[in-house]
Amino acid sequence: MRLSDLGFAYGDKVIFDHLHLTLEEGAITAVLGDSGVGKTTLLHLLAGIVPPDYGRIDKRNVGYMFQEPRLLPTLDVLHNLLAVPSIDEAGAKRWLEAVGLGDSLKLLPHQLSGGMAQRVSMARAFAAECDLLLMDEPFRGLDLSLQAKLHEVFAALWREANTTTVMVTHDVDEAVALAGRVLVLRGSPASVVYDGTVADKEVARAAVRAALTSPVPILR
Amino acid sequence: MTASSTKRNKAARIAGYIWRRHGGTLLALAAIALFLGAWELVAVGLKKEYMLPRFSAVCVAFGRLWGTPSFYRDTFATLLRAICGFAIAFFAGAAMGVAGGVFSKFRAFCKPLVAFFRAAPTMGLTLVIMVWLRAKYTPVCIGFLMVFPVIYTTVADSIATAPRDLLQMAKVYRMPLSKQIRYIYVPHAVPMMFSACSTAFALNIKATVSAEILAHTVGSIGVHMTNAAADLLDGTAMLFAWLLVAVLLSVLAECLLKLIERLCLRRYGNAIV
Repeated sequence: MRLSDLGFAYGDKVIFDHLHLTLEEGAITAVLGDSGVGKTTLLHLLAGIVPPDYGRIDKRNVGYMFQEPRLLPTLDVLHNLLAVPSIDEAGAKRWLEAVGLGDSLKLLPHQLSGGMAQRVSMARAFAAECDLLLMDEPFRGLDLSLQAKLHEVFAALWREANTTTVMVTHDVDEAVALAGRVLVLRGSPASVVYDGTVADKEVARAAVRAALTSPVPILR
Repeated sequence: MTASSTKRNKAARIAGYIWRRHGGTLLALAAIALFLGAWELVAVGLKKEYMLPRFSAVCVAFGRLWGTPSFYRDTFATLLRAICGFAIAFFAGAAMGVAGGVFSKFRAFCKPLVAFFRAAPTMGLTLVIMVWLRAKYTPVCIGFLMVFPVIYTTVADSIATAPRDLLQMAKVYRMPLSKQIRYIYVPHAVPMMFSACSTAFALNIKATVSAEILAHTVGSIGVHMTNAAADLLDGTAMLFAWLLVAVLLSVLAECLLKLIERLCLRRYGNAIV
């Protein structure tokens, strides 16, 4: 999947200027970078929430795990999935079962814990049968044990769906643990200062940390 | 522990429970009792029934009202006028509010008009409307003009402030507009609308009765108030009794709205509070 010659600005603040990016099909790409560099904007562009000022993005059916679960407050767990036109009842139940919420179909969002709500959001993203899954720090703010559990659930579901995924995160360990490729965005306008595959986790972790903390952007 | 101290503890626990459960109601009842007591004291001290009748005299007049056939007919007529004005304003305000919430240009276009009706004095508007309409339609029109800006603004605001995060999610998952309205806009607007309707209906009753007084609308609470005010001997107590009727109508409407609101919220648990 390609993003060609992409440009986007919020008023006078240029976020991307002639950005080129290729996403590998059927792989998880983690995107890291300083706060405000444009990581979430990149996801919004990929999802079609905002159009680019110039450039081209291949159109895809998108599933999105937001930072917050973004569930419809008046619908129970099952109907939150069924509200998405591309999800049928059998698919919704299957994915909810897969995230361990098979017995919580009738609960309303305000009756769910943070972890349960995020699992509903995860089930919705996978059940939508998307061909591009976007994740915007979906495990942020959860306690470590819950985070680890959700990483496991996500990894299991992803192995089954094998969807092309872009995951924005601030957590180097999370990126290296889940993704096969890591990009680091820095600067204004943002550019890719690190683009590496995760073959050896320790080496990748050290390289990503160096790219994130280096005063002078380095390009590999 | 002695038997008497056990009894005292039990009584304290019961009192605490009643205070926790019904403290607000008890305070409201205490305030009413204090107000009525002060009224009675001042009326007895003043000894001028035409200025301030005793509360007991107002109660007698209020009781007498219930025995007259015109009471039911005219109270119902006032209520019907208020409901008509409210209903027309509700539908017009909701329709234009949707347009105002969706199209910011339309909202900018309507802003001066809505600001005018919000700021214009009720009596002044009534005098103008009396020139154009017959006396029985003037209160309906005034009720409409009082309620319309409240409903219009609430609907437009509720659309403009609909949760952006949920709308983004709906856009990503290509949720149709009908579902967005049903599951995002309506649950967001419902609590705001109940609050606005409650305020608007109370305002509507006040404006309708005021317009009836000024327009001398035949068969209305307003005209009964005018007649009572003209009777210096026995009229003031009757005037207070009719005032009480208007207040009761307003309170009953508010209770009815609260009941509907509670039924609506029960459908969703606490999801849209």
